[in-house]
Amino acid sequence: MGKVIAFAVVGTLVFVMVKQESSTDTQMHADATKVGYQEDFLAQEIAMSAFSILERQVESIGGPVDSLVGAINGYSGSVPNLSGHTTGDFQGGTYEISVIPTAADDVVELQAKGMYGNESHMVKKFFTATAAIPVTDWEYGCNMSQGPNFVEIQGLGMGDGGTLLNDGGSIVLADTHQVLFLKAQVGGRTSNINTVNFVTSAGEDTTLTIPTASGGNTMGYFESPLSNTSVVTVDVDVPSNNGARGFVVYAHRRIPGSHFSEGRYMDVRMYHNSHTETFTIPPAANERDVHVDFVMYDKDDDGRTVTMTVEADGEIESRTIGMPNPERELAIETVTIEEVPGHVTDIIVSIDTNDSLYWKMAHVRTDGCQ
Amino acid sequence: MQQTIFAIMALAVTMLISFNQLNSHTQSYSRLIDDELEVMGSGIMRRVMETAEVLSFDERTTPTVWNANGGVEPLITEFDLTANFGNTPGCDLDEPFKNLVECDDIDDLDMGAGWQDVPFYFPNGDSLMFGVNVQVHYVAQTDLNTPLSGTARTEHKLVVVKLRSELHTGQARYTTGFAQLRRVFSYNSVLASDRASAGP
Repeated sequence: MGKVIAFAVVGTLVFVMVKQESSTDTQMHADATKVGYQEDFLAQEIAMSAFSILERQVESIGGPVDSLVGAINGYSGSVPNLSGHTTGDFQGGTYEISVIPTAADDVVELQAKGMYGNESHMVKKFFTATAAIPVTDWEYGCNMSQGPNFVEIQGLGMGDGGTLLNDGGSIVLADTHQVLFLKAQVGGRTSNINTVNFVTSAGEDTTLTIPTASGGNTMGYFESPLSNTSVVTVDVDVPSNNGARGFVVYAHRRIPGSHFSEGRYMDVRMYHNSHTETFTIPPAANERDVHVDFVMYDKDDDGRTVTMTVEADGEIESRTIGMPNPERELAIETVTIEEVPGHVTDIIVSIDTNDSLYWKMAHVRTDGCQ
Repeated sequence: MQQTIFAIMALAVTMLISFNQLNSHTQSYSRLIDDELEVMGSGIMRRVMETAEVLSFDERTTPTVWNANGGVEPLITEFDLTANFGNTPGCDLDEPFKNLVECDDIDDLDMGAGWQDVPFYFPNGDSLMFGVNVQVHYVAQTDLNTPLSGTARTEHKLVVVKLRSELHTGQARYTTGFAQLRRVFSYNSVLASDRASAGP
């Protein structure tokens, strides 16, 4: 009897052990499957979050392709890094975002990869970049839903023809938020400038040996587009002091609201004369203020003056300066006509001077487009 | 006699082991149920995120307000303050489009510390209730994991969805939820403009 019970007990124990082993295997398999599913699920969410961030950045910049690639992928020297990416961590996993040029000129592929545990997930979408940075003039209309709509101008004087005050210097952008790209410019007597080097705090390093354009009487300029950065430093190599006159940075931004901005490279060499040009702004339902920024190189501080005039619908605003601002030999000034009626579209801009100077740029802009 | 005693002891041990195995089996089934709840729950959390996808980023970017402002893009300072999130009656997570007037932007999903019952529907028409909590926070582009406090506002909103069920066996799960999902939604002016053009 005892032996029977003993056999029964042993048999039961064996059965229980086998059953337990089977149950454990099943549970482990289920756990592994569940973990895999959860990791894939989280990888998807991380990828979608990263893609949202990427899409906002790209939309803010707009274009061109090189600016998008450089802003997201980074730079290799001064060249956008085609194989680079931005990384980050989120929700216990990591992500990588990148912009990949395609065979089509202005089309790039946005890629966001989310990674969690052993799983990863990729979100992709094609994006059409805005046109390349304008070489000279620009016009940002009221109805542009992406790309720049405002240009901020800052400058540094570099010389007075006889003495080179600064053969280099830095311009700091106080606010780099929503700056889509920059244009850095050195104006002056280009025949007396060997090289112009721009270096940014973001790591771009550009050297120009050929002027972008030469105006009358050898006045011209060197200019390069740059990606968004907080500091732009210039270094100029000149064989004599009579070369560079000023250093200007144009920050092309996208700011909230609808705005009109037209920049025209006047490139007019002036000597005891006047020059007038007409701009066209879009009509508006309401009155709006019209601002005109003047950029003039070679403005001396010897008492000779320049009068800047803006006329709209018969109303005239003008201002006369003697001293260059910020300093020799660069003048950046703004003249504003307030409350220009909405139906008025012609803005007449002129300079009259008894000095010799190089009128580089006129920038007409409005606050809002309603 | 000895054999009998030995046999009785062996029977007792066998009963204990069998009982333990049954207990283990029960736990295994509980975990199976938990796993099934988590799979169902992930579907609900994904549904909440899909609802957020089609909502406007902010009240200021809803088609109605966008058009009322003449299509002018908002400043970041015009976005809702965190303290005002969810102040409107909020969204029905089961049928969010029943209330398009007050459930029209992402932060309308915020429900503070509260929970909302959301059903998971089976093919035969039956349903199982889950508790869902949604909170919305601003985050910085450089740190998506840390909600910003006070009056800070950015172009990025973090949606955090928590899930709970009376049937889940995890410790304190009913208090804090047994699953959590997070996603960041960024302001997109092109999308806002397109939606405004299409009308509310």
